[in-house]
Amino acid sequence: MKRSPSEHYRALRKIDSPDHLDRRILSEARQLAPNMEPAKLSVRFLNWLPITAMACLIGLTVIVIQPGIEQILQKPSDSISDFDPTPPQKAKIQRGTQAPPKINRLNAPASVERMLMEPLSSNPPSLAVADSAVQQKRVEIQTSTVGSGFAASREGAKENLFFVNQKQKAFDHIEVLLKNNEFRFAVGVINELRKTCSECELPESFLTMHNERE
Amino acid sequence: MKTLFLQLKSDESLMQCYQRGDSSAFEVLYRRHKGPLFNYLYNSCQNQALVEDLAHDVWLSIIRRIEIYQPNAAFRTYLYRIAWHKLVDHWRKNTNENGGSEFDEEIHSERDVQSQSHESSLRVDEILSAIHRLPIEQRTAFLLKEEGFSQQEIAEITETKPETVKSRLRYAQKTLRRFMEVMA
Repeated sequence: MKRSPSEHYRALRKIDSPDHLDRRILSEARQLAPNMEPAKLSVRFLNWLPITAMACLIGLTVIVIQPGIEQILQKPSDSISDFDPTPPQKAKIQRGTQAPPKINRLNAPASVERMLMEPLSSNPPSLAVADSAVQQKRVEIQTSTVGSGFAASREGAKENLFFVNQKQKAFDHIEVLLKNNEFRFAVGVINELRKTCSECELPESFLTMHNERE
Repeated sequence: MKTLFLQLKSDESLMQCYQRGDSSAFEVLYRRHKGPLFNYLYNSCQNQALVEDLAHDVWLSIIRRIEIYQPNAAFRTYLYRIAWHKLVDHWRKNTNENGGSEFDEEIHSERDVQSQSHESSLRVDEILSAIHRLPIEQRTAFLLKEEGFSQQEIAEITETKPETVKSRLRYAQKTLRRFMEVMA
């Protein structure tokens, strides 16, 4: 019966390593083993170091930036795109030109005068919302109709000119009316008023509009 | 008790224990593989003193590279790849590549006596001589296969393609069969 080369090879007795070699290798293994622990620890620490540093950096960034972001979100009208670095210009009256006439009950435009003469109970046709609360606010504006400034809504510009004696008060009242959806297209007006609010000045465009109207 | 627990662990786990400084884990690992490795080295170069030096170098490489060891591949493949590199270095150094002139007579005669108990028509020296006449690559592939490695694992150890290993094994079997037929 013929045997394959593999069978011949497997028939050979397996030899083992001598004892002196075993002792020598195991001794060296024991000698070298204790020195490896600190190195291994340092390798592990170095592996985790970049990840830890990155996590700390992200956490720090969130802590520092988050209040700023919240502040920006809370003031949408003061966003960077709306910010005007130039100081608000006062409506200068050049020498030689005729100063805009003071507006009072005597020289007010006819439309304003007509409105002022209307009874309080009647609804003005230009107001979209005419509930009692809005009417009450409008009355407050109408009752303080002597002053140097005025405010208007774009929607009712032709018909509604509210004279107020204090410009800041006009701003406050228009904002209230806007919140009640009374002035649908007053957003631009409000934004312009806000720009000049800190200086307590109405924008020049209102005066221009007033002059044109006159 | 601890040794018994360690013996249940895989080679790769034992290496990781040794990485943490547990020398008893290395001892278990060494006793598990020292015999087959020594046998493989002996049948590759058939010189007792040389084989002892090579085995020592192989295990010392394992010990010294323990910090960079990663259990990506099987430890056995890793061990025999280092052994293969040591053998190649040795063969390159020696002009007399096969090293058969330093055949160890003592071990040879001992093996001869042991082998007589098997129903083999060939003597041990004839079998070993036939193996030793193979080219290095074919001999290595044959011996690794006899150690239980697959063709893929042999390819990883000797850093060749599995198709090349398959071809080497076929040529080795063919050559050995022819040698043994002549000797019989």
